[in-house]
Amino acid sequence: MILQVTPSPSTALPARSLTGAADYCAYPVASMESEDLHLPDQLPPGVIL
Amino acid sequence: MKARRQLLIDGHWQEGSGEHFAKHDPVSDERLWQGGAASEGQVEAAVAAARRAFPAWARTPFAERQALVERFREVLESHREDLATAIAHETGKPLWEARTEVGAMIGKVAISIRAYQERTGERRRDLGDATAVLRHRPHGVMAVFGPYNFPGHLPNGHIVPALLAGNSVVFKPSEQTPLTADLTLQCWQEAGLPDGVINLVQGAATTGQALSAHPGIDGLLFTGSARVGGILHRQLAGQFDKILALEMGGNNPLVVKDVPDQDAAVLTILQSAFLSGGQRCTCARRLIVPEGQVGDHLLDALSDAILRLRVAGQFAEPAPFYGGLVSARAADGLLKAQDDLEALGGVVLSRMERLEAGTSLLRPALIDVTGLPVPDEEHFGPLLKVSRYQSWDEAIALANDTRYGLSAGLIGGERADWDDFLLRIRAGINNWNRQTTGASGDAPFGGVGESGNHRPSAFYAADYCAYPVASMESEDLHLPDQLPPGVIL
Repeated sequence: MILQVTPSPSTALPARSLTGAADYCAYPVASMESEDLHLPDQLPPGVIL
Repeated sequence: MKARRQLLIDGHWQEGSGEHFAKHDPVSDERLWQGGAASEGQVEAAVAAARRAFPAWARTPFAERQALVERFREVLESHREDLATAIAHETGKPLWEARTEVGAMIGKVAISIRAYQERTGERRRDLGDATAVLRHRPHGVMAVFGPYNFPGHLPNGHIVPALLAGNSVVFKPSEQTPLTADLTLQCWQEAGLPDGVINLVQGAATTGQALSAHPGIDGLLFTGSARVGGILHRQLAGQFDKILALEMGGNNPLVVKDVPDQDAAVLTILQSAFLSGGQRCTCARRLIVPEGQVGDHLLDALSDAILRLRVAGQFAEPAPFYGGLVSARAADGLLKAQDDLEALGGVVLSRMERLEAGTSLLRPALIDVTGLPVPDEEHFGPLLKVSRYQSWDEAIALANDTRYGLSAGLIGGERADWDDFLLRIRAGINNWNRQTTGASGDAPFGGVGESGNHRPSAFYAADYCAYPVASMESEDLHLPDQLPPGVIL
């Protein structure tokens, strides 16, 4: 899951409009998140667990 | 493809007349590139060429600029293996990873086109008897400073959006990766980019200083260290007319809340801390682990996995997890950092060692620095510091105890823990149960603190490549039904 959230009262990413002050009142936070921690089907090259 | 070993100014390849320098493969020591750096006069000529090319390029309809950038993508496709091989040689990263970097360069084109349209582009709406229109215009001549760890992908992440927006570019790659830049510029030429729209100046600090100090640039897009980024920030202070975008490093925390699956946790840590030999700005530098048996077992398992981790040359078979650092000198710096942390009282759980004399191949370090006053530095290599904690609040405080704020990660925990982590952690990239080095290209990329200057890149690069122009417009000039108070015509 990929989320883009802003730490502001509204978590909706506003579409660009004719006003842009919202841009400098919050910073973007991008996340890759999963409730589960699990091994992938295939390990990356060079990793032996 | 064959390296030109020259500069590209106004569509013409020419010898650099500055100091000669060379780049060697950091593992095999093969000489990859040698040539002259751009002198101050050649930097001047490159900026002048970009200035001359700018008006026509900016007036070129967006559809044509897009078509040209898409041709560049096709050229990249046709030279995939040449580029990947060059990147692997120059950076020390394994060939499999260098191939993913070229894939990211190719993927950047479609993402940047979508970002241009969504983030900038044009909007209009009726407002009474006029139309309110928002357009975006290019700044002019953009200086792009590239880093060595992703010599293709990261400059490309500035250059493609800059060109799509209608800017012209003067590109100064890292002096540690001149070959990848040389080949990439040949791809732009093969795609048919008009002369002067992109220019290449090779060289180190002297060339960079000539470019960043040049009054003819309208913006500077930089990816690199916080030290150099800070110098540029101070240098451009007070120059309101120039846009400055800084993408810098981090002393990134990875917090372990609990360990629902030990092997998966170990893999996430390996991929967070040691992918690309730790030469990613999002790499975890600090592992924050609970006191007690669960944490002890995790660190034991991690130390074992580090011993089994395959580190070898870029083209070795079977493929390594990571290869060399960018230079033997960089490896020396990491070994010294380990010595310094040990001298401060750090306990080495896994010792960093040079695997072959004269190379930059290093086995990773895992060093427990709990309670020690270690400097808040980004060690740009396979060195992971461990801090143990007793309470969740202490874990969060440790994670935030940095002047940087690029990436952060959480392993384990419940949804409520993650929500709390998100609200309290200061970083622009926060991942849960995923490696800190994972970032989506269609999201913004950037951090807070000394990780940047609030100009996030990737999907938001479009924002700093153009400025907005707001208009109220009407094709007709006519009197309103009612005159303003006090006006008699």
